[in-house]
This record gives sequence, C-alpha cells and structure tokens, in this order.
Amino acid sequence: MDKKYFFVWEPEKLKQNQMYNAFSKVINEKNLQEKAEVIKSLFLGLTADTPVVKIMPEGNIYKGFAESDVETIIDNALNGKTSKFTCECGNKNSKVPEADPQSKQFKIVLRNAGYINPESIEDYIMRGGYSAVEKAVFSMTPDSLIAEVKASGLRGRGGAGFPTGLKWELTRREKDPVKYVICNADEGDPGAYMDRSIMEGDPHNLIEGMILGGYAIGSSQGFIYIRAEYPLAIERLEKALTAAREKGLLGKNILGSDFSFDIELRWGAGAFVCGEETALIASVEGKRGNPRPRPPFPSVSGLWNKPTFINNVETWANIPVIVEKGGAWFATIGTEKSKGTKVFAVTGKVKNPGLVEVPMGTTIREIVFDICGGINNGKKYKAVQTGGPSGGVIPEKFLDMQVDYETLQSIGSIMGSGGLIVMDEDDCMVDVNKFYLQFSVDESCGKCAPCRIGGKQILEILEKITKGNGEEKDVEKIKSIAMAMQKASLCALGQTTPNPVMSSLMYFEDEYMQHIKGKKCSTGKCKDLVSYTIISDKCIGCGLCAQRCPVTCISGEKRKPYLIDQSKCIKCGECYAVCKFNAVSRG
Amino acid sequence: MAKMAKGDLEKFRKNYKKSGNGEIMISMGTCGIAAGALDVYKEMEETLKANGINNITLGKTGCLGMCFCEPNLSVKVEGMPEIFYGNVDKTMAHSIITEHVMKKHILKSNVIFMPSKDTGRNIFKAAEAK
Amino acid sequence: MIQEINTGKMIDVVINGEKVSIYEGTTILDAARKVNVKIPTLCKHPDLDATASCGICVVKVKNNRKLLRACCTKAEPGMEITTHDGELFEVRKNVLDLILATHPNECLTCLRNRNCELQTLAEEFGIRQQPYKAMVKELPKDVSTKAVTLDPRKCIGCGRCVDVCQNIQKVHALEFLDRGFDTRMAPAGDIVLKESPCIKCGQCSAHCPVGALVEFDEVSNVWEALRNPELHCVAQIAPAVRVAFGEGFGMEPGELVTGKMYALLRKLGFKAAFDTNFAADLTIMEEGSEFVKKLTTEPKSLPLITSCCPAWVDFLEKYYPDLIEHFSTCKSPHEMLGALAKTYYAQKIGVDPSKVFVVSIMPCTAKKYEVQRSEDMKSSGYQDVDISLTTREFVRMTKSSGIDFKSLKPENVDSMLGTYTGAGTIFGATGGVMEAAIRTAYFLVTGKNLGTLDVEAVRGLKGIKTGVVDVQGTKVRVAVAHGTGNVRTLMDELREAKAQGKPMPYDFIEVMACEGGCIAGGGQPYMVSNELRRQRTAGIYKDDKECAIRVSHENPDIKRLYDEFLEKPLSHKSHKLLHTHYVSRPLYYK
Repeated sequence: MDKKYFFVWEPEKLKQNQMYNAFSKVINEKNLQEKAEVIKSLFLGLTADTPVVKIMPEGNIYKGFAESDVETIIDNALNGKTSKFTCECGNKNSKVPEADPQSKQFKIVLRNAGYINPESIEDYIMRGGYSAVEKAVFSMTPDSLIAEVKASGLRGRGGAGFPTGLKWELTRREKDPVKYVICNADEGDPGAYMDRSIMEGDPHNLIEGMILGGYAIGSSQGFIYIRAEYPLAIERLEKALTAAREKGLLGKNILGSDFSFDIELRWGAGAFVCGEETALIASVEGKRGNPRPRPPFPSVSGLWNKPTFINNVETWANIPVIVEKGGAWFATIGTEKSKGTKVFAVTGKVKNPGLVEVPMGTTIREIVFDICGGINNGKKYKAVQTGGPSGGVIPEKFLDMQVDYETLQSIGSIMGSGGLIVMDEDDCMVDVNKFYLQFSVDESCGKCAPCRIGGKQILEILEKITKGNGEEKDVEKIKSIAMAMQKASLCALGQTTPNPVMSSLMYFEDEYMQHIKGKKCSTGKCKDLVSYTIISDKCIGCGLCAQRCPVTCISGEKRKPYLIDQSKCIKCGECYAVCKFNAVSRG
Repeated sequence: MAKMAKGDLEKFRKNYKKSGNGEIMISMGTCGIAAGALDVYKEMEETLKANGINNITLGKTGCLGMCFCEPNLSVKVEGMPEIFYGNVDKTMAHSIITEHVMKKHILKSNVIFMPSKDTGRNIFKAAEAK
Repeated sequence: MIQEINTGKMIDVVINGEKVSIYEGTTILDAARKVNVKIPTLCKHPDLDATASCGICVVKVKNNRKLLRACCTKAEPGMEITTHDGELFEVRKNVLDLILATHPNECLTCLRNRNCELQTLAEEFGIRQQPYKAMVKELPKDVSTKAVTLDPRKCIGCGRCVDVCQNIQKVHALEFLDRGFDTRMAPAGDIVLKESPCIKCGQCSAHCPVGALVEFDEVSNVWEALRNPELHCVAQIAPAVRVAFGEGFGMEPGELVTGKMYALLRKLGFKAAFDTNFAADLTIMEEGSEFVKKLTTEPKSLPLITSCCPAWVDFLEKYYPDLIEHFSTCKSPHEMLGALAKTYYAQKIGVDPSKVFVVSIMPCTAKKYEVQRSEDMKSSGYQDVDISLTTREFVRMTKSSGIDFKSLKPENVDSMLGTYTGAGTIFGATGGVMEAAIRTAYFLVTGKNLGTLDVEAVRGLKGIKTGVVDVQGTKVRVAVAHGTGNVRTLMDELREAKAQGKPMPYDFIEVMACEGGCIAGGGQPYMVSNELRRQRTAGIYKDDKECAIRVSHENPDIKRLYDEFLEKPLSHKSHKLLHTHYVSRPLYYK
C-alpha cells in the first residue's frame, strides 16, 4: 500500500474545511493524487480545539499544526518521516505496552465486540480464544488459577466491587461436591447496555470466562441468567454454546481433558431485583424473585442450597485475558485499589453517546469530554449519574476525579454496573430523581417494608414538590425515610433506592429549595412550576411562536406583541425554544 | 465437527485462512439492527451480488459502542486502510460497494476514525500475528 | 418461647454489655430473649423461619458497617450486639411509621383489636401521629370460603401466611402477587380462596400478626340463635379447646378448663353442654370397627386413613384423590355429635329437631367449611351442625357476655352426648386418634385391653411417627403425620408403593392437617410455638391420665347409645348418620 491517506478533522468552532482545503491544495498542486488522498473525517476519542490529522497506514496523529505546515506534513509522510506534531493523547492509566498511545480507551472486555463475527467460533479462536481454557486445564491447578485472579486485583463489575478472586476462593473452599457457577446477565439499570453488547458481540468470551470459573471452583454446571428482553443475545449465546460443544470446548471432557463443564441459559422475566444475587438464585430455581437475607452467602449456600458463584457478564469477560496474560499484567492497569478497565454506557446529553471501555482511574472529564465529545449543543455540564437508580450524581467540581470504586463512594455515588448518564443545564434534578425513584419503586420486589413503602413515600413527596406544593419540612421527611430505607432494607435495592435523591440533595439542595420555597423550576421541566409569557418589549410580532404552538394558545397580530393564553398553555416550551429574540420568558 | 483436543487450537490458527480479499463488517447488535443495520446488510448483499463480487466477505459483528452513528460498518479492501463509516443508509451502503469496494474511492462523507478501533486487536498479539 | 436448638456447641456473645452463652446457630433475636431483651419484630413468628421482611428488628453489631436483622442473623462467637439505642429507635420507628401509613386506621372495628402485633408495637413506640401520607390499598375482602377471611387492605406484607401455606402446609394457596408497592398476598392467579387449593386449615390466620387473615367471624349469628326463643341451642366443645381457651383469659397454656366451659355454655344460654370428646369415643367405635373389619377380612384394602380433620379431607380430595379408597368413611366427631343431637337427643327430650341449633366450639377454621361440606352433613334431615366457632371467636364472645370466666365453678357435662373417656380427649393432639384407636382395636381383636394404654411411639412433635403394634401376633404398622407438609411425604410414599405394585408400607394412618394436631389448630389462640404445643399437649394427656375410663369401648353412654339407638358399630343407622363419602375436587375452580 503506497498511498497515504490523510484523515482530517476540524473542530466545529473553527472555520470548516480550512485544513481540508489546505491538504487538497497541496496534493493537487504537487500532483500527488496517486500517492496521497485527503478525507474529511469525524474524529473520536479526544476533544481538540485545533485540527487533527491522522495519517494511514502508519496511524500517526498530528495536532497543533498550522496551515503552513501542511506541505511539510505531506512531504514527510510520503518520505516515511514523522513530523513534530505528534499527539500523545493516550490514557495515562493504561500502563501496559499494548495500550494505544493515542486513545483514552483500552479494550479488554470489549476486545472483540465489533471486530469479529459473534456467530463464528472460528473468528473467536483466531483472536486467541479458548487458549486460556487450554492453558488452565492443562497447565494450571484450580488454586493457581484462583491465585492468578487474586493477583489481578479484579473486582466484581456488577456494582459492589467484591474481590473476584476472594469470592472464588471462598466458593472453592466449600466441601460440597456439587457447586454451581452463575452468570448474572440480568442487566437492568436504565441506560445500561454493557452486558448486552458483550453477549451480542462476543458471546464466547463470556463462555470461556465461565468455563475457567467452573474449573477454578470445581463446578461442572453453569447457568447464564439472562433477560428475556435480550432475544439477540440469547440467540447468539445459544449458537455459541452449541458451537463450543461441537468443538469439544464445552461439555464433557473439555479439550480431551478430564474436566467437564456445561452451561444452560435461564431466562429472566424482566424483574430488576433479580439482578440481586439471592433473588436471582430464587428465580433460577423457579421461585418468585425475592431476595433473602445473607448470610448464608451464595458462596456457602446458593442455588439449590449448593455453593454457588455468581458474577456478572463484564467480570466473566475479564477472566480469559487475566488467565492468558497473567494477573500481574492486569494489575498494571488501573488505580491502586481498582484494577483493570471498566465499560461505561454513556448516554444522555452527550455528543457521542456510546460504549466506552477505559482503564480504572480515568476521569469523568476524559470520558465525557474527550471520548464522547462533550455536552450536546454547547450546553453546560450539570452532572453525570453513575450507578443508575442506585447511584448518585457527580457534579462539575468532581469532573477531574479519578473514577474507581472508592472515590465514587466517597462522593455519594457508586460505580454500579456502568451506566453513565450525562445531564446538562436543562435537566431538573428533582424531575430526574422522580424518574429514578419511580423506577426503583416499580422494581422493588415488595418483600420488605422499608423499601416497599419508603420508596413510594419519597416519590410521593417529590411529586408534591414538583407540583408546587412542597413544604420545607419535606426535605427532612425525605431524609428520615431515606435513613430508614438505607439502614433497614434487606437487600441492596432498597438500601440504595434513596441514593440518587440523597446525592442530589447533597449537591443541588438549592434546586430543591427553589422548587419548594420559590415555587420555581428554572429548567422548565416541572410543568406546574413554570409559565411562559411574552415580553412585549422584545416581541417583534413575527408569529413564529404562534405557528409552532401545538395547542394554538398564542395569538396576536403581525408586527405587534403576541400573547399566550395561560389557561390553554401546556408548557411544552416550544415558543421559548423557537423565539429568536428572547421575547419569551420562562419562569 | 470434530472435537478439539490439546494443541488443536494452535493448529487451527495456523491453518485457518479467511477466503476473499476484503471484508465488510456491519455492527449488528440490537442497537445497530434497531437503527437499520439489517436494511444496510440486505442492500450490500444485493449490490455485491448484482455486481458479481464474490471475493468480499460481508459479515455481522456486535456493537462497537458507537451508538451515535449507527448503523456503522468497517470496510477492508486490499491495498487500502480499513475505513469506518457511520450513519450508513441504504444509498450509502450502495455507494460503498460501487465506489469504495469496486473503484477504491473512499467516500467523501461519513468517515469516522476512532483510535481504539485498532487497539482492540492487540491484546492477544501472539495469537493474532499467526 | 426461646427457639434455641441444641446444636451441642456453646458460644458467648455480648448483648448490650451483658455476656450471654447460647448454642451455636441461635439467632440474635433468640439470644437477646435469653437475657430478657425484647427486640421488636413484626414478621418473625416463633413458629416460623424468619421471612426478614419488616425491617424492624435491626440491631448494631460492633465492627459491622450495616445494621443487621436480628431475626435471621445467627449470633457468632464474640459478637458485640447493641439492641437498643437512639439511632435504632429512630430507624425502627421510621419503618413502623411507613408501615402504619399503609395500614387502615380501623383498629376499633377490627377483629384483632387489642390482640394485634402491629397495634401493640405502635403503642410501645408511642406513635402519636402519622407523619407520612396514608396510602391504604383499596382491595376487596375475600370471604368466599366462609372459614377464613382475607382482608388484603390490612396486610403488612410480613409473609408469614405465605410461608406457612407454602413451606409448612405445602398447600400453595397463598402467594404474593404483583411487585413493589402493589405487592399483595392473595391466592395465586388472583382468584378467590374458595377457587384456590386452600384447605381452610387456617394456619395463615393463626400466624397473621394483624387482621389481614382471620377466622370467618360468626359470633353474632350465635348470639342471634341464643336470643331466639324458638330455638333449642346446644353446644359442644372440641378436645383441644379445653387446653387453650383459658389463654384468652390470662390462664396458662395447657390448663384444663373443661368444667368451667360447661358452666359457661349454660350461662350463655345453651340448653345443653355436650362434649365432642363423647363423639370422639364414638368415632373410635366406628373407625376401630372399620379397621378391624378390614384387617381381618380384607387386609389388602389397608391402610385405613383417619378422617377426623376436615382440612385434611379437603387436602386429600384435592391433592390425593387416588387415595380416597383408603379413607375412613367416618365423619369427624363434631359432625357425628351434630347428627345425634338432631336425632337421638331431639327424640329423647322430645324437641322438634328443626328447632335444635347445634353450635360447636372448635380449634379449627376448617370446621366452618365442614359443616356445609356435602349433603352427608345434613344426615339428620337438617344441617347437623349449624355453626362452628373457633376458640378465638368463643373467647371474644365470652368477653362480650359479661361473664367472668376465671371465677366460674366447674360443672358437669350433659351426659347423653357428653361423657367421655381418656381416649376421646387425646383426639386433640397429634397421635391421639391413633392411640385411641389402637386401644380399642386391640380390644376388638383380642377381647382384652392393652397392658399399658400409653402408646408413646405415636406421641410427640416429630413430623412423621411410625410404629408397629403387636395385636395377638398380627403386626399392625401404624403411621402418624401432622402438618400437611409432612402428610405429603407420607402420602407420596403410599403413592409410590402403589405405582410400583409394592405392598403398602402401613396398615393404619392418622393424619391431622395442623402441626401438633388440633391443639395448634388454625382457630386456636395466637403465637403458637413448639413450646406452646408441648404445654397444650401436656394438658391433653393430663386429662387422659385423670380419666377413670381411658378406652372408648368402655364409655357407658356410648354403650347406651348403641343399645338404644344405633344398634352396633357400622350398622345401617350408623352409616346413615355417622359416615360420609368423598369426591375428587379440582385444585382450581377457574
């Protein structure tokens, strides 16, 4: 491949095509069309305020050059030389040589998703798949396998972050000859789809991880508890299981060894609480998915009262890499207490939402602004929510804080399973929390009183506040109920249901007070607290608002100030959004 | 299919050869399909057939994590860098075959590059190298 | 009522600074009880495993970040536990406030008024206002069974009823439906109880902490009958009532109040005070004869299974209709007595049987169902038993009568349908029917009484008890099961043997639907535990021991009844009045 390709990206704020034209000009003037081509491209992965060019096939990225440097860059590239504008924008936390120096992301779990055909076991094997199983079964004892996982420092990716190796060891230690391995694929956080993507994009990765887990703890049967709402994941997993069995990589005597292990799928009926391990076990057993008290922990008495080891999809997906490359390798990535990478599903008011996998310790700023391109439409960052309905908000002041289990907890949020919802200045904290709470209230199993009733009561109070009927003592009431829920609920669902409210009260109490005392919602999200009026001084009478009003409650004569009929207004905010003269006030 | 035994994985990797001299991989997770990846897939399949191209593999892959530009796909044609297209519709899918694959002209729009697109390949370097 | 199980190993824990030695495996809740520290709870019942649902029993354990539920957390050696402090009080009170917000404020009209665990707790916590918005679910009351009333509005979701129905009784009539705030306890499939597999045993109502599951209250109907000058009201008391009724008046469990109850019945206006124990003796005559007949003429048709328990009858008809042929055709004692009251007794005293009104005081909710179970229950030409009250209802009725029960002077029974032997009284406890039957069957076969009348093998609280009785060389294999959960095991054994064409493992089987037998029936006073079962059972066996006659076949009034009216056991008349039929019934009617 002789031809050089120049992929150019220019920030939105700058004059577009300036650099693109510069490259085209040089190529055309020098008649290099056969040797070089310039392509306008969207660049992902870092936010830059100056143009960026990536030269293929070398893959060098240059940044910070001027229009006058373009010629030199092209010349150098064609002569096999590098220019001085090299951009080192990689993630400082991925300390392994394999890490891309130009990317904040580092893919372990998602290493195959999007690259291979998930329905082809050949593709997976070609990328080194199932070698970890071969390595473990023929050259490692279960204990050394557990030691490797312990050395990796891997912690459960389901949210709580319990050390995986230790959990394995505890399960292995149990005397019972029958043990089970379960994969918790009941991903239910709103806005989270990490696990689904892994199962759809790389099902063998999960299967291989579970086989290794089975080998380590001495189990011959695994279950994948998967949401029935993931039909494609189910289909691909079924195909993958069949393919693995056919190749002797799953089932009786794996790879001809004396180790046997098989996996069955169990469909969940869509209850969020079944992500809680004891509820999940009850559901696999065919019972109502209610959590039960722990201890005994499932590692002692789980599925059908047998020692059971449960981990979520992402945790399992790390295992083959740890076995293949060693725990020490894995432990070089991440922070002191949180090792490896974390997959986040970034959604909300962000320019490039999607799945990202970053080393632990990456900051929220790097994730939201560098990788995902920042806030949509140039709006102001308000907060991100991690941990979904069990987590909390991270306000602007913590943007540069390194994300790991401990730091998130210290500021009132949790790592959670990896949902990361970005909110901008237009989001009302009270309104957002009503959403989360409604979710938790609907998904409570209803077994224990604090969770069943407490959530509903807080929701009721928030409703009251957003309707303009809030009283100052309501905040105190929320706090008392939250205290009872956090301390007296049986499982994590109830204990964490008040988290979003409590965390938003911690950082955005004035916003609550604005609703309660001022009876105002500055974002306009709480319809009962907002009214739209036309400022007659500013209105030029263009009539655009009247045209766009869905309930035709705006009337007036052309070139004279218009008027909103408050009795009909549904407070959709359309007039406010379309007015070019700031003549509509919201308040 | 014969069951594999110890050492067979290595042998398999040595002997396995992907046919064709090009590959198009469409992200087809639930998200991609919902965004229209199935239509893109069908369009490409038909266009390839209509033009008698049979040395390009058209494949499905999982979600690459780039939700904002779905449906998306990558095109690898001999002698050209791998190009990643986002927000592909049927018209574009058609042009990718007729322009990019057949004439080796990279389309002028919807090209996306993401550094880590290549990073993912590197974890098991040893295995990949063979 | 410490449910401390001897696990052999003792451990020490510290509760509120005080050292306690307990068996390993004891929960914090029970360990605290041992040092007389009461940790409040709404869902933990001494009789059941912890459901861990109310969240009120939380305690602090040193070096533990979270509060732990005392009901289900086992004490570990060296644990330092704090059961009461300001924070715990606040948490508990808040949870209680939340529960109260969902509970209707209907204490005054509630059947559980002044006998309600939630009300007691609210009183102890000094609840003076409701800080949270009232959110009572408007759900319809289910009185379809006319035995057990389900009022889901009052349910606090503790899960005891579901636990007892599914895990102890293994009936699976009750389940939690819906999720989250809308979670409610109801028959699976959201049907009414009558259309569900419910066997009316009433164990749910005996364990419910509030008024969500209660007996179908018929006290006012009894008052109405008593006040009707047209009617000739008579009453009978079941064996198990006499050892538990006193609890309603602050007396000790197991204390015998038989004579006082006869006096009470007359004071209330009943024209005769009969005793179901008499009919129990009669049952033994019929059932014993039935057994001896089968044993001697057609041993292949054995085992014979007892049929005194209406919840068990319902259970069999629903779950084991294939075993109906093994069922004794004898009616339960109170039905026999009802039939005789409206025939023999009415004839004797010259009263129009249509005017005789029979009330039975039973430890049982299923008896309410039994009185209308089938046409056989109208063998006298009228409904044989008009109303069956539970012990709990009768306690309330007594309290409303103004009679001071404790100070009543014991009186004698109306002997025509009242004289009983020790064999009749032990019907109240598990194993009792079997023991009574053995005593008589032995006599019927051998012509002599057993050397020792106590049959220890069938006594006690073990779920399934088996034994062999040597009847003049014939080994009679007997089995006793109580609690339908245990009964299932035994019946499955029979079914299995049948399916495989193997000989039946037993000849004679006694079944009672409630654990411990009728003394812990679904209509008995609350807070039953194994300790309480033992106390009530002791009362029953004390009664037996103190009886001059301890075998049914020697009951003089039974003899007289046969001589004057029934002729002989299994006679034509007996069959008409004292025996019944069984049919297969569907588990679900919809």
